Amino acid sequence: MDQEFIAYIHKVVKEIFSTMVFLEPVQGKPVNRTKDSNNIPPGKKDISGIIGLGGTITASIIVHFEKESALKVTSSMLGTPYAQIDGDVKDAVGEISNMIAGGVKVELAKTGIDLDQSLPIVVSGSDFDTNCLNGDNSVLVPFTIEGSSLFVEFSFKR
Amino acid sequence: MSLNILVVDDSAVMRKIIKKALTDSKYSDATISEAGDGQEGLEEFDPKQTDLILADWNMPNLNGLEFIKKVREIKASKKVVIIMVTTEGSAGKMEEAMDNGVDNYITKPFTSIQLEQKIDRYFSS
Repeated sequence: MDQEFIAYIHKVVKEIFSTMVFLEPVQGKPVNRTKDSNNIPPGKKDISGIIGLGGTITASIIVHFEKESALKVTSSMLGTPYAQIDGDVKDAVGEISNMIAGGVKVELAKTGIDLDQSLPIVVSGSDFDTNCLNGDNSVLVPFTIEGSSLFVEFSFKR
Repeated sequence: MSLNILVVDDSAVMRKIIKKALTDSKYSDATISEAGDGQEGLEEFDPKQTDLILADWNMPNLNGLEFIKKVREIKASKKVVIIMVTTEGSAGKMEEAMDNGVDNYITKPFTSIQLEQKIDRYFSS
């Protein structure tokens, strides 16, 4: 598992949440994502933001939100309560994913890895899966936000 | 001083955040217009009225950098200040933006105070 990538994700998520979300994300133990399992417990992934990255390496960042965490993040960012996944919540998930990818990209640029990033794609539902580029080079970094889940998945091919 | 500010970002949530930051700042009396991409931004841009553009980089249809190049080609009756508000935070991207008509740069995530301080550099008096 590439500890440098995990450190970048921890740093970037902490910065985003302290400056624009105003919630405290609690770090969990990162795991390698396998090709056969996304390592996310059932019911903990209701909406995900997907960003493709291309350049020196090929990579993707997927940010998986439990419904409650997406609602809490959107409510806190905008200062108004959200009870259901609507257009604003989907937009906020896309923007958080965009900022996480952008932050990781800046950290990678400092090491000589230059990447361009795609616009965010947001998917939601009760039963969906996402396949990473390469299960052998994929890490899943978990966080909890006031008891609800958020996972940042970083996959790459060198 | 009441400014005319154009906010161009494909995220409606980000536009709301920027508008709230402006409303809570010393620029609360600004007239704020908004656009969801560079093409809409060109339609909303008023060369006689717009004082400040806050533009994202990565947007569909016409991205922020292409939008800014086109704005700079338009003959404006006054200096239009352009601040890019984007996740594109590498030194190379910043340099590219500055070379193409951007006056200043703020990377997401940002605080309301950071945004106000960037604007202060041009309009604080």
